[in-house]
Amino acid sequence: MDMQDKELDELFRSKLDSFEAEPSANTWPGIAAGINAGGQKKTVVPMLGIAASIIVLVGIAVLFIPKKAPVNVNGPAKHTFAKTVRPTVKPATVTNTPGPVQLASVNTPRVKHSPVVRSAYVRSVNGEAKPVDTTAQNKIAGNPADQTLITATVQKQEGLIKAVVPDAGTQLTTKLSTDEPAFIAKPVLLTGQLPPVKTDATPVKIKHRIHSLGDLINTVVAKVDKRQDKFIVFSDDDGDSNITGVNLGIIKIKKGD
Amino acid sequence: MQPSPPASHLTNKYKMFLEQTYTIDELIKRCKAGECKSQELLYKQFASKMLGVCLRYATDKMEAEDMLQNGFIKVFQKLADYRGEGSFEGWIRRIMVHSSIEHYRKHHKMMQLVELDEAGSEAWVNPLATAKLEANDLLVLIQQLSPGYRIVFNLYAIEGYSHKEIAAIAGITEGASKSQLSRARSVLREQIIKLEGKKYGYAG
Repeated sequence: MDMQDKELDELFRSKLDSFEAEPSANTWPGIAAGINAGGQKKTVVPMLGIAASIIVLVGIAVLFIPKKAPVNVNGPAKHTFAKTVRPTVKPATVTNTPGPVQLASVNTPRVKHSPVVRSAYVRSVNGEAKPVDTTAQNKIAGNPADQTLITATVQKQEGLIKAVVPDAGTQLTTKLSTDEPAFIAKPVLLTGQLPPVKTDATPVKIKHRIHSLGDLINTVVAKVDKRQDKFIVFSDDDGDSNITGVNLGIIKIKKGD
Repeated sequence: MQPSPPASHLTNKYKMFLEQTYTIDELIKRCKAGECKSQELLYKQFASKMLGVCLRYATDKMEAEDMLQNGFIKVFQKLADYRGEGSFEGWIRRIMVHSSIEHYRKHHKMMQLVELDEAGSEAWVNPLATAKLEANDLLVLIQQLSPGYRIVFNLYAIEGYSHKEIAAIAGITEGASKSQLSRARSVLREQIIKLEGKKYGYAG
């Protein structure tokens, strides 16, 4: 008797439909691992995403922080400058005559001025010592009165001192011999040209007593980190410490104020 | 494959797993909540039966266990989608079948039609003799089929799908499904005859 298709199917169905076999013991661990792996992925992937986006956002934020114009204030240099200059100050000679400011044409060649002032300039520019024209310097050297005058003005405008640049000094001295009032006014003009320079007093502060945790950290960091921009910098202007600078190598943040 | 009446269904389960006192519905609820213990219990409840399903689609037990493993992972991932329509066993079984076929799609490029010489003469099988064949023998016969035949025969003859459904599930045409089924049958017939010959001492 020929076996019909349906009979054949029925034979297999009846025998195999309820067929059972015991799986080996290590099947369940594999399934459990599979379930957990799926679950972990679901939790880990978003976490990674969040972490990554935070990093990206911070990175962008750092890039877009308006950078204070390259602040080349060298604290210690300025400090010493102030010290050296102070004794020579003669307030009497300082007069603020704003009028002739325009006379100070800027395009005068290199530095020619008294040794005292020159050294100050050089330092204040943060190590970028411009080649100083020593020959020119001699012209003025013979004129002690001029020297004191220059230093005096510089002292008077203490806040502006760092702003003074070799080029500026040039004008000062050249004008000096002929037009004193014009010269005195010049620092004002010069500071106008320069980016607003603020005193970064950090290095000075280290010398101060330790008043706060911020100061403590500053001193400790200063011992360890010899870079100009410390790993982390605190300032406590208002009695409480604020982070004013962070330098992680790649990421540098520096608050000017 | 109707859902068995709850009472007998449960007593069966209690016999098999004395330590658990949950109904399947309770277990499902707990599994949905992510209880590891309940997941394991649910697995134990259906593992042997589903391995029986997977074995029909595999060439050996190792492969069947792979299918079972992937199938159960899918079961637990999709458990939230199970709304309680139809029997849970039917639902889980469908997942196993799909998992098994997917396994083949991944690991073999087998679904293309395998041409055979047209079986000129239909093999002759004595239906009475076949009654003595054991499930294991038949399983071996199915496992020896080429994968394409095996899948189509399983889906049509045992799972009860139509050619249209098989075409959708296996990703082949309806015509291919029909021709593979008829070839699978003729191969099986030949094999059964050989088997009987061995058993009863006369060559097929």
